[in-house]
Amino acid sequence: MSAIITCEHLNKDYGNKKILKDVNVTIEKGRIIGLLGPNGSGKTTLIKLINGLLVPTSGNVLVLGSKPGVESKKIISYLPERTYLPDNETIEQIIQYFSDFYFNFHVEKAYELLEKLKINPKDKLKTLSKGNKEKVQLALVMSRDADVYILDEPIGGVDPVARDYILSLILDNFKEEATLIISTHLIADIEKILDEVIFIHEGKIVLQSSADELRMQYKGSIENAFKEVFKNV
Amino acid sequence: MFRKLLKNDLSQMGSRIYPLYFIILGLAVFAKVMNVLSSHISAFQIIYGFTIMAWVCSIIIGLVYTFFVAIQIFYKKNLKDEGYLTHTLPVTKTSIVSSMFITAMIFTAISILISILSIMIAFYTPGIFNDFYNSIQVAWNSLDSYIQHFAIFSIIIMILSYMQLLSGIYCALSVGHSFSGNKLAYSVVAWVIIYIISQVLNAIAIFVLMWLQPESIQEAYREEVGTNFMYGILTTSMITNSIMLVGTYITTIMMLKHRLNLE
Repeated sequence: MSAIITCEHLNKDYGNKKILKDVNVTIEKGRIIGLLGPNGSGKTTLIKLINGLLVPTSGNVLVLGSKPGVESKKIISYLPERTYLPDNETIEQIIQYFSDFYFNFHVEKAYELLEKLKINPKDKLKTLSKGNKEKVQLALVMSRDADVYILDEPIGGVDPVARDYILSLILDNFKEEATLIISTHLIADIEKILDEVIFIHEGKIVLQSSADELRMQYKGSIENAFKEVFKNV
Repeated sequence: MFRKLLKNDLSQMGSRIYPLYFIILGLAVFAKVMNVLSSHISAFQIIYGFTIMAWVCSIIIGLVYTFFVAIQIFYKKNLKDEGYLTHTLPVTKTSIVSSMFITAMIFTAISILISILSIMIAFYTPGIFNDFYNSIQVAWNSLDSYIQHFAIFSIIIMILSYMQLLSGIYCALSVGHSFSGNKLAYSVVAWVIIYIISQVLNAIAIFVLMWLQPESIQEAYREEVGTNFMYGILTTSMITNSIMLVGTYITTIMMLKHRLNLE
């Protein structure tokens, strides 16, 4: 398999605080990768660097061999950890916006997902609850036929009952050859879908491994592996 | 893609400003009606007076609000949470900044036109449009060619100054938000630095003018401000405004491209 995302000696500081420290990661095509770590470990910062929302202090992020830019944004479908859509617009207007800018966005699929999520596309975003806003964002992100999906805490704000539903929605709506990166600290909820895991702690990558190997090594559970690895960090 | 950005920015800014245009034109119509009524019934004089006051305020608010909304949209769509959407669109930073800048300029022009239109409505008499056009023409023809040039130069400088102000604020916000923490305070500092640079540039331009055209400065010393001095000052002002406009515009794009910091 070939690398779709590469981070080379990546460092990111916020003022005097070092957030990422010499991160070296290669992410290959067609894998489901869990970016796992406690709160404040640098997961979101790494994701923002891949999406070009931050600029590295030193080192490189490469998407298909190039720095994040217009070309990488065509192929990456990104779900931030926060609500980021314009509150004053209706969901229909936002769907039109996505359709205008992303050549790989499927309008019918977006309406279909919203219907499944029981969300009225004629509603203004500001009238929705936080949870429903997050569902709208997820529906829009998953309605793109992207090569890479990067989902930052997609189940963080959802109640435990809805988590499985959200995960199945994610898995049912991305093409097999695409790469899916899911960042979360809720490992137990997503571990069954992962092909590969990256553990990050205090800005350092402490482990990158195949999920199957970890399951074999740690009594069938990635959460056990996570606890064990972080106990020793 | 640029056309799509522009279409979206126009529609977003429009949705914020159209209600105000409606109020300005509505007050102008109401003022005209009150004017007619007050000429028959004196009791309407008071309402007419208040309507005129409200209408004048709405025009001033309209122009200030247009500027404020242009800044606010740039800030929200680039440097706050909506920036996550703006900066993950497959478009260049030049397109993003240009689209917002052109939108702001278009709405400033529309706000001015709406204000003029509302004046015509408020003081409407049959043939006012012809009278307005004729009086402008008569006034223009009565001016010396020197004064005509001065007027044209002044209008160009006003437009350039407004563009430079807008671009300067975009630039200051972009620079300020590239820092971690105290982003608005850093934006204010950036604005002060931009202001100082523009003043230094003006001073340099005046020195160059003195060097190239010493006679124009001698005119000024003799308090006989003539064509040389006026053309010199206006030209240097146009040049410095243009340099600052281009400089701040390019800096804004570079900051969003190389120092974007959506922490």
